[in-house]
Amino acid sequence: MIRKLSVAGCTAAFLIALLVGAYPRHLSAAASNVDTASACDRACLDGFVDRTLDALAANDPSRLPVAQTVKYTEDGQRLALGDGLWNTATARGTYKFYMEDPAAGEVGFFGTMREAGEPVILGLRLKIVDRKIAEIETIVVRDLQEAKNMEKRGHPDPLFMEIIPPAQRVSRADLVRTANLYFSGMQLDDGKHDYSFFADDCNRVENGSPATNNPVNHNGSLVAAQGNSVDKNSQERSDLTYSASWGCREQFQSGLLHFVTRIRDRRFVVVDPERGVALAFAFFDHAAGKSRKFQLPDGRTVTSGPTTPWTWEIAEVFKVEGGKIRRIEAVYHRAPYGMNSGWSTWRESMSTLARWAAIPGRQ
Amino acid sequence: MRKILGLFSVAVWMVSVFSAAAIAAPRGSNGSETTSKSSCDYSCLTGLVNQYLKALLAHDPHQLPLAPNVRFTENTIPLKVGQGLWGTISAVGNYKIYFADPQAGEAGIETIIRENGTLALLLFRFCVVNGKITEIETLVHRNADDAKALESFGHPDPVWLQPLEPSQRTPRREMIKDVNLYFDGILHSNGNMVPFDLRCNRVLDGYQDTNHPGVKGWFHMGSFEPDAMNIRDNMNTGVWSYIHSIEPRRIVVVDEKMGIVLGMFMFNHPGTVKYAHVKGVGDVPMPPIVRHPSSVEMGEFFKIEHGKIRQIEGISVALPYGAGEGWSASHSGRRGN
Repeated sequence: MIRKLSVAGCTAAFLIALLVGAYPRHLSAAASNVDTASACDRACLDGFVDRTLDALAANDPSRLPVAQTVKYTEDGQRLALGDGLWNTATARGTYKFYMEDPAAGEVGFFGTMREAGEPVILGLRLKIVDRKIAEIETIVVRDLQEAKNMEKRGHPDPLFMEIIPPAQRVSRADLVRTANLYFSGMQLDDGKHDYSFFADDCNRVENGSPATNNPVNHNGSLVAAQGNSVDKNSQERSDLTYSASWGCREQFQSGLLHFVTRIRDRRFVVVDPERGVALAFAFFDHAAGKSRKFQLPDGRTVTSGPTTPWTWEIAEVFKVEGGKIRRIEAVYHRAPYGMNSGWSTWRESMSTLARWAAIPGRQ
Repeated sequence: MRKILGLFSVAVWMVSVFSAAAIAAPRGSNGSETTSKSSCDYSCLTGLVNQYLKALLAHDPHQLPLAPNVRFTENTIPLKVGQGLWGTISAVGNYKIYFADPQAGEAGIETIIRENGTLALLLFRFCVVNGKITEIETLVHRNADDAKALESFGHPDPVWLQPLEPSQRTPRREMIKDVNLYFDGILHSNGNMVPFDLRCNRVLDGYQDTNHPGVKGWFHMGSFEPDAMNIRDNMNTGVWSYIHSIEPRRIVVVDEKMGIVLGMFMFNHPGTVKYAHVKGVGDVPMPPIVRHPSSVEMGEFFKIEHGKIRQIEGISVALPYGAGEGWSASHSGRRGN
């Protein structure tokens, strides 16, 4: 599901639109803002995450070195730093997944926290400028079972942390391009496209539970939560649902993800060629109208998918190696249909183009 | 008192207790613009509501007299007319409470619908200027159990359907002031400051949380049953003290004929209140659902008779904490820098 290329409309201070097969002409100019943010290496970035989590648990943002203009959002809403989870967090959790982009001064984190004593899932992004926190973006998934699932899982797949040999590394743009094929392939999935961007051993984890190649019934995954669009127990391809027991490619080939009508505001906030990791924040819209009726690859017309409009607010990370997606992990929760992230213009938030930070000399 | 949340309690920043100044009144409430809006009278407005429902069911907004720059929100999010519920509605039930305000050019309805067969609650209002719909604000409460609960009432409480005699009516400004006092009363856990008719019941998202003995609501503890109390005593318990602010408050329809005030109100819950301190009972623990930050947009309407609140009903939409409601200039009372 590759979109038509277009340069028009790609703006933003330093994020540029990924146009599959072409690059914006203003890449270098757009990149200049980013270079100043790069004085913080991986350990430095992870340290900022830890300090933020500690400050959250202490309900004390004054512990953080923040820029004067620091901006904080929680679940897409702009709040004063110190509001929201800052009032209710009670401790750090045990699941920790750090994702660094030293070149852009960005760091992502998936993990668990305690809120009023109960586990919650936290998706976190920080932007560091001149060793101060300039931006804090959070998604708080308040689902007890899913948070427990994540902690029970223990740790992220070690493959995410493996270093890609220098000779096999790709550019930031190519890394985003491969990861973005996942979003474009899922949106209005028809099962008829080339899904060779999935590695044979690809697996996906959602809110702490396996969503592919999972032989057992599980609750709480994106797959399971798609209402009547999935048969959690099925080992076989069914008429109306896809199964979490299938692989990444098989799910797309089924054409049964058609109900994901739009994946928009695709912000690749962490791009790490050294590890082949790309983290994106995005929204999955389910219009639930005419899109419920669609044709499968075998020609059959079926009616399937959610019955009411809603949107997933999601943070999703990809491990890309050899030009193929090998691992995917996501944290997400339900949001009002059509919601914005608080970090994009309305036009950007409705766009299905990918955006990411360009770095001079590291295209 | 399940997830309803509408109604409820303490804190106070921004809204002063006895002032109606913090509440946004509909156009025409001060008598202005009356002439320009009055081209659509009461029956014209309710007729447009029916036309709107018909167009919705046909999934065809072209059946409506829409202004070129019409603004549409669903559950506080700006969408294009034709998106959201427009693509999914499959039936409209018989439970209907209409609102019309010829002076302000506003009208609306609460009803029960189905989306692709699934029950839901719908409340919308629109604004008509020179015969064209310029604003549409829709709340859809997508919880089939709650919709079924309201449906089980069979029909709206008769007080909603009974026009007021002139002697029963209250001036527009006083009606708005009464509603504002209700929200102040929630924030101050003080039902005595609210002009209640003690026959008043409150039904939110299909659940009656006053004069309703024998149910185990959110705050039921031993013999403490706030849902069994009248609305004034219920408010006085302090169980709504988890509500930090009710802001913005927008009155959108003042239906003088029926004595109904409809408004859209954002309830903000920081999640920091652990207990309600109830006199004679002790500390009543807050349910887990309000122990984390959240906001709720309420479409709530009030029957005002003889200057007193006679009945309350409405629907809610759960939102991320600090969410705006899409219509106020400030966008949200909870915003940071």
